[in-house]
This record gives sequence, structure tokens and C-alpha cells, in this order.
Amino acid sequence: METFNYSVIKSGMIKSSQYPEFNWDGTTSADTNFLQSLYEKMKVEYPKYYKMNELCQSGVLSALLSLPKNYEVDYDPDKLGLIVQNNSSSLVSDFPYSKEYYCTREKIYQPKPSLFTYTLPNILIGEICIKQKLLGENFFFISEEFDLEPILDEVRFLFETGVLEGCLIGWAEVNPDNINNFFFFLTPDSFNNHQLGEQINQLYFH
Amino acid sequence: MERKSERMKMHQVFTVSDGLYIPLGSDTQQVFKEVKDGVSSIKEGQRFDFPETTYVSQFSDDPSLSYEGSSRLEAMAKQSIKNSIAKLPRKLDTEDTGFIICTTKGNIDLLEPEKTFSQQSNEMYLFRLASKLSTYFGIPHKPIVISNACTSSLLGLIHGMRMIMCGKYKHVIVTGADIVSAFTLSGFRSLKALSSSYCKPFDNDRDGINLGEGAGTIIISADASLSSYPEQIILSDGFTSNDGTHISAPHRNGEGLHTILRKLVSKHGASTSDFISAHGTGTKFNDAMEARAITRSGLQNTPIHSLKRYFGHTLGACGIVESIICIQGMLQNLLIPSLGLNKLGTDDYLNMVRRPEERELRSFIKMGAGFGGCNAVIRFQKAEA
Repeated sequence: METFNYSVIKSGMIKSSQYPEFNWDGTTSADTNFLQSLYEKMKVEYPKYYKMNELCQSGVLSALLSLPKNYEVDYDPDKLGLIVQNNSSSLVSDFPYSKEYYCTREKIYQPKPSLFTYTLPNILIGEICIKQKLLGENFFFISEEFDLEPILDEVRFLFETGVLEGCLIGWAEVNPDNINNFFFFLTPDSFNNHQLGEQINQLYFH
Repeated sequence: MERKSERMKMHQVFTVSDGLYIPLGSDTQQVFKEVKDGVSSIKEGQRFDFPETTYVSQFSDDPSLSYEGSSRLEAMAKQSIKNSIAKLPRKLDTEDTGFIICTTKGNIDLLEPEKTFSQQSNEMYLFRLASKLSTYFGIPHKPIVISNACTSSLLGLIHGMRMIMCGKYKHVIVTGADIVSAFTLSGFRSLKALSSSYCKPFDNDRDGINLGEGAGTIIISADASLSSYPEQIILSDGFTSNDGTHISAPHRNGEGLHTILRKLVSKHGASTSDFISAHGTGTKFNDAMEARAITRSGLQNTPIHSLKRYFGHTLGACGIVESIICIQGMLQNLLIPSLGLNKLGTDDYLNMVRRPEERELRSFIKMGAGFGGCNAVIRFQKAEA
């Protein structure tokens, strides 16, 4: 049994340890846009959501599905951290931005500023921190594959030195064809569980 | 997975070497000499088909940058790493060495908009850039990549520092690099964040940033005997935070930055540092936010400067590039003036450094902030004699 909250959002699967009512195994694929359908089912009602790129949209939903239900009362926001990792940085937005830039430069030299803002991967961290008020340490790592080592090294330090009391961790890989998000929330207690690494790997890779 | 149940024993972290490669000079001593002389590498000119004049610090077909299968960014990063390694008194044991690459946009000049997402070259992926560099320098450990807007390289130093403190690595090479490209220039232009002239950090007439490019490398180690400096330098602290208010504007009261400055003050006291090197981009909001955070933290009397007017805003590289200049300033006991400042233009008073001043310097704070609401501070000090 896992000792931490987690969620999976990927094309073909939604799973949440705390909100099983949103679980989806991909077999009933009537929805053309499963992310939009999840957003509606969760009744998030957050107008800013529609300004975001897909990396941030799916990340915001992953955070909602992974944070403990009463974390706002249980934790000091300055002691809640967020560490995210992915493969392709913000390429999913770099690409449309550069297209727009190259298409418009001869005429008006004025790409949309809102498109440019999303050409940084850690904007995802910013969006989650705004929505959930996580104000502590934050890092965006890039790795070819989901790599727990630098993340858990950092989190171990932050817990042992008392800088953080809780940390949301995420793999957030979004490209035009696929979403592959895996988020989980750790505390010093759940961190000291000796099967932690195996449990995380089990949940992510199976 | 192995985990230590006992409290970790903390190692002290020494800054042992550095290397720079920016348009102002091809290594630290050359750049520092130009800075001392008040020289800037920011030039006005026509760039990337933009209709108006832009002011940037950019390499212009530098003959010493040999590409030979490297991108522009890789060539700069390599040169800064080579420069840093060359100063070490002996060879690094690469088995014990971590490698962290920090960049916002990597090889963004190689993006091909006419191709699809999946047709983009490998060069676009930051982890490939990192593994190419780590292979080149013969570092067996998997390199770590951090892309966290303009705090990228401060976060790289913080992560590296912590990994040495907890004994994961004995040495860490931290490199920050970013280039000036049509992509980033057009983006900051669309946000109306570019200065119409030379940037004027903290000035009343400041109106935006000048972009800059280049690379900087700092080598940190648990082994003080590796130091290439005349005095031992300790990387003592580092923290990050998030404002949680806006993705492209800083918190009005500098809340996130204040939170982490306060941590330094509570540990080291109000005289926590002999000077502060601000982020000081030259935008209205950033500079006002920093002034607010400094005042709220009780550090308003600490001498402070911005280095952006010397070599532009080097984005993900700026934390390391500017720390390297500050280390030289501290070693030479010289306060470096904030170039481009005429009349202070923040609501909160700051003790701006207006002319070079010789005085004993034992410590400094480097601050940074960026899009996504991120803030970071690090503190360097001379080891006690």
C-alpha cells in the first residue's frame, strides 16, 4: 500500500489515489478531449486555465489530484515545495511560438506575448504555485526519462534540514500527441518509508 | 533505494574555480578588467530583421569561438568549462564529480519552425546538450539539467551545493549558458520588456532590459585544497521560493524574495553580507520589487549594485556569470559600481554603489528572480582566517 498521494494523467489513463471518482481506464473513449472532460468533471472553474498551454493545464489538474485534501490547513505555504521534471522542456510551446514569430515578422513583428510566456518549462511551476499557494522551494529539472535520483536527493536534503515539510513532485511530459503526467506528494514521514523508490517506480512504470 | 536514517553530516562547500566566456571578455580576468574600467559589451545595432535599433551584448562571429560540430551555445559553454578547469591546481577526479547545466532556452537558434514537433533535431533537447558536454569532458555521472527561467544557474549552484553538503558528490561543475536569438529577442519585445536604449537598472528612467549572451562555470568542492583563488571562498547558503502570484510579473511587495532573504538574515544577522548583487534587470517592476524585498528584510543599508549594464541580461546564465564577477570583487576588496544609474528610481531607498570603492569585503549575496514567480538567493563568504 502506498504511503503517499499520487495521480496519473496520461492519454488513455487517469488515476488518483484520493479521488478515485475520476479514474479512467481509457476504454470509454467517447471524449475527444479527455483533459477538457476531466477539467469539467472536476468542476475546477478556474478561468486562467483556458489561457494556459497543455503542459500547464494538465499539470494544474495533476497537482489538484495529488495534493492532500486539507494541505492548506496542515502546512505553512512557505514549507511546501514543488519539483517538476520532463523530457522536452517547453518545446510544445516553443514550436507554435516560433511559427507565429516567423509568420508575422515580415508584417507586424508582433507575436502574441501570451504565447511567449509559455516558452519556459517552469511556467508550469508558476501556474501550480499560483493556484495552490505552494510558496517554498522550486526546481524544474530536464531528463530524457523520469529520473528520481536528483529529485529525491534534493527532497531528502530539504526535509532533513527542515526547509520543507511537504513537497509535490511531478513528471510532466506533454507533446502534441501525448500527455504523460505522474505527480505525487511526499512528507518527511512518507519519505522515510524504505520502499518509497520501488513504490514510485511501480506506480509510474506499470 | 538506499536511505540514511541518521541525520546527515554536512560538508562545507568551497568555491574553487570559475570560468567565463561572454562578449565582454574571453575569461574572468579580462572581463573583470573591463568591468573595473566601466566598459560595456552592449552595442546598438540592427538585428534579426527587427525594424528598430536593438541594444544587446552579443558575440559577432568571434574567431576564437570554433564551432567544429558544436552549436554556438555549446561552444560558449565548453569554453567557460575549459577556462574553469584550467585554473585548478590539479586534475579533478571525474568519478566524484557532478555536472549541472543551467539554461533557459538551450539551442533555441536551431529550432526549425517549418518542421513538425517530432522532426526537430536532437539539438533541441536540453538533456542531449548536457550529455554531449559531459561526454566531451569525460564526466561519467549523468548530467543534471535545470531550466528555471532567470534563476536557472542560481538553482544549479544551490542544488550542487546541497549535493556536496550531503556527501553525494565531492565536486560539482555548474555551468550556465544562454544565447541571444530572434526567438527570445522577439518575445521580450512582444512583452515590451526591451529597453529603447542602454538599460538603466534602478534608475528613475529605466525602461527595460538589454539581452546578453554567454556562459559561466563555477566549480564547487568539499576539498578546499583544490582552490584556485588566493583566499578560500565558501558557498555558505542558498534558498529558492515562489511568489505564487503571477507567471510573468514579480510580486509587488517582493514577498517570495523577502522570505528567502529573511532566512539569510536570521542566520547571519542584518550585517549578513558586505554587498548585494541584485538581479537588477532594469525593468520598472523587477527593480522596484527587489528594493521592496531588501527594505523589508532590513538590508537597505548594504551596498548594492546591478551588473546588467556591463554585459546585458544573460537569462539562465546570469546567476553564475554575475557571481563570478562578484567573487573577483570580493577577492580584490573592490565594490563594483552599478553602471547606468543616474537618479535612484525606486520607492524604497537603496545604498547603490555609484563609484568603485576599495574596502574590506568578506561576504556577498547574489539574488535572482524570474518568470514563473521564481526567486533565489545565494551567499558567498571568505573562509575565516
